[in-house]
Amino acid sequence: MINYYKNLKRKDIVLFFVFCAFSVILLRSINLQYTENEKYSSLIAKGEIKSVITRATRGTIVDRNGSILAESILTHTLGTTNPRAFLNKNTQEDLKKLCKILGIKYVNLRRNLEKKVNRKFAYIIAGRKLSPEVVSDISKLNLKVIDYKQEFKRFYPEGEVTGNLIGKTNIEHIATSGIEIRNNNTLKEHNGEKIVMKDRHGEIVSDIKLVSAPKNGEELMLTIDKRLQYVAYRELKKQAISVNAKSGSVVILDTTNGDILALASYPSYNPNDKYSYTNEKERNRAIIDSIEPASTIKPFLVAAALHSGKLDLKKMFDTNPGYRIYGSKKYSDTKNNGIINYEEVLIKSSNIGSILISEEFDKKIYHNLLEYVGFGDMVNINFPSESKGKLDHHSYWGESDLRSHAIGYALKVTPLQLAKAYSIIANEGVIINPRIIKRKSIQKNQKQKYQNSFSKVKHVLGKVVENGSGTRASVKGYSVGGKTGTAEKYMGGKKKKYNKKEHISLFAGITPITDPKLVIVVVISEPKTKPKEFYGGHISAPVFRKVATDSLRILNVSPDMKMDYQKKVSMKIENLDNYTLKTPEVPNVF
Amino acid sequence: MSNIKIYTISFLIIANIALSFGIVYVEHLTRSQFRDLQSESNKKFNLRNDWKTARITADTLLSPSRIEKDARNLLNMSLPKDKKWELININD
Repeated sequence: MINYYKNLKRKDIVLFFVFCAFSVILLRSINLQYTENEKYSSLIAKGEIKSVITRATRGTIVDRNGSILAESILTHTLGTTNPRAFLNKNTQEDLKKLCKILGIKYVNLRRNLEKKVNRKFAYIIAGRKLSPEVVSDISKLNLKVIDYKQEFKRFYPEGEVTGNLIGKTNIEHIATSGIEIRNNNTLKEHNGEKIVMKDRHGEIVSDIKLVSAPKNGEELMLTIDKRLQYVAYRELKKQAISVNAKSGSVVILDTTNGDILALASYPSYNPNDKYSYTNEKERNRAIIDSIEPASTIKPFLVAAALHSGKLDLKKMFDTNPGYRIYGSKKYSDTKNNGIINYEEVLIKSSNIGSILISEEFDKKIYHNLLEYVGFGDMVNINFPSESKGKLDHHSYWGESDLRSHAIGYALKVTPLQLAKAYSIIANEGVIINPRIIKRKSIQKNQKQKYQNSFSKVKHVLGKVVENGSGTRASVKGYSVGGKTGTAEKYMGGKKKKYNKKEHISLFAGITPITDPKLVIVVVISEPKTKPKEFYGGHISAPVFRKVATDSLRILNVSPDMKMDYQKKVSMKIENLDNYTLKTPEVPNVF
Repeated sequence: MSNIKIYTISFLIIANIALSFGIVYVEHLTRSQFRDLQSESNKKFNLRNDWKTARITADTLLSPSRIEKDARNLLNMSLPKDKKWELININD
């Protein structure tokens, strides 16, 4: 045996130890792989392998020129990983300074954090989504045991001007109203998830597996022009305040492609300030509220009458003595218009004249035309709670209903529907459906109906503004056509009564009437003015003029009418013809 | 055992050790580069956020309501009354 060891060579000994070492490694490997697999796997999973969320951002909403209407940016949220230590390790003086920055009371901060002592991360009251300036002020305090989380905050640069159109998101960055909620599928971000390996410092050292890739929300371009939206809202708000009106709305529509350039609604709220929000202010009345269109319906009545071929263009209508009694109902004009033709019915906005015209032809033709221009049907601009108004089938119309329909009662339309209908007059029967999402294709109806009727009506609408009820809507340098309307407010109830003291003032207009570019509808609800000053021509037409003047200038639409300075120049030229040349007197210098 | 065999084994052992060190070094290099990549992508994310903040700031400053407010309050400007302004067609 001893000889055997003596005979061993150094090489054999080395080989033996190498063999032993490899055997130990092999056995340990087997042990780790099969026996203690679970123990070490869980240890690794806890310490090194983590699932992390890859952040994505919500899509931006921009106007037709690319200006931001809603954008999300990352902000800091103040919190602490150990509320008890936070309260104990910081001096009361420092905490009071923090409270001053956050605008809260020290007692409230303390009480709030004492409730959250067991949480891994406790939010500090009023410390969510702070601005960089506030974060900088807080960091100067050198507070202990504080931590920041990053959260997205949605900003709306136009504030209340677009408040009830764009909508808003809540504190959790989830859409709650307006375009935000209806286009959530496009705008919504999808956070990604991946399994990563972290080192002992907690830093990610490698990606192990991608569970899902992050997907940012898409940019949403609207047809809205923020400059026109502002002009519309400014003038609407100014007028609503000056006449102490309850609410109002303005729609600006591009007649050439159906683009909605502005959809202003008053009252509105600032989505950046949660305290300015109320349910009432959230309503965009141009889309949600349906109203009786009153006299703004008359151009469609006349168009239907012209289309029927039953209306004799030379026929005169006797509206004397300015009112008519049918059964128990009395219909009246604002004054006795006497004997008038169909054009004057529109120009003077005669209710009696309209009722007389409606008796000239089949009610089915009138109903079909109202249906053709989109009344009783949703415009479908993809906005929450969009109203489709109300238009009963003509088979349900009794004689009284026909009279009501002739003067714009018994049916309901939204201001947007009214704008669409007037754009059909502007385009002489061509329907271009309004759109608010820019990438949506233009929906144009190739079948042009009622062309001759609408063409004649359009011409008469120009006269309404020139020397009729809508003179206050005239715009310097541009031709305007439009129609005023004043509706008594429907109170409902068993007797279906109307309130004679509460009115809705309307104006729907087209400009320039020679080559239409814009349709603007102004609705002001419940103005409180002197008697006989609540009419659409008094309340809404001036708003139309101001909005149209600024909109045409902003859109660089060339004036189509001779302007004042041109008139002055031509007058001077005419005077020159009568001028006889005289030798000028030379002043005596010496 | 012949010298060739010894040299071969020695070479293999040295190569094995070198390879082990190589693997460790490459792993270290990968990790540090990955860390750099992470830091760069964080920077990109933050820069994107800064750019968005700047865009919002610019658009807020350019908002028509703010321009009008500043024109009124800082420059004492006001919209002229209807009769005071004249429309001029620059295309004439």
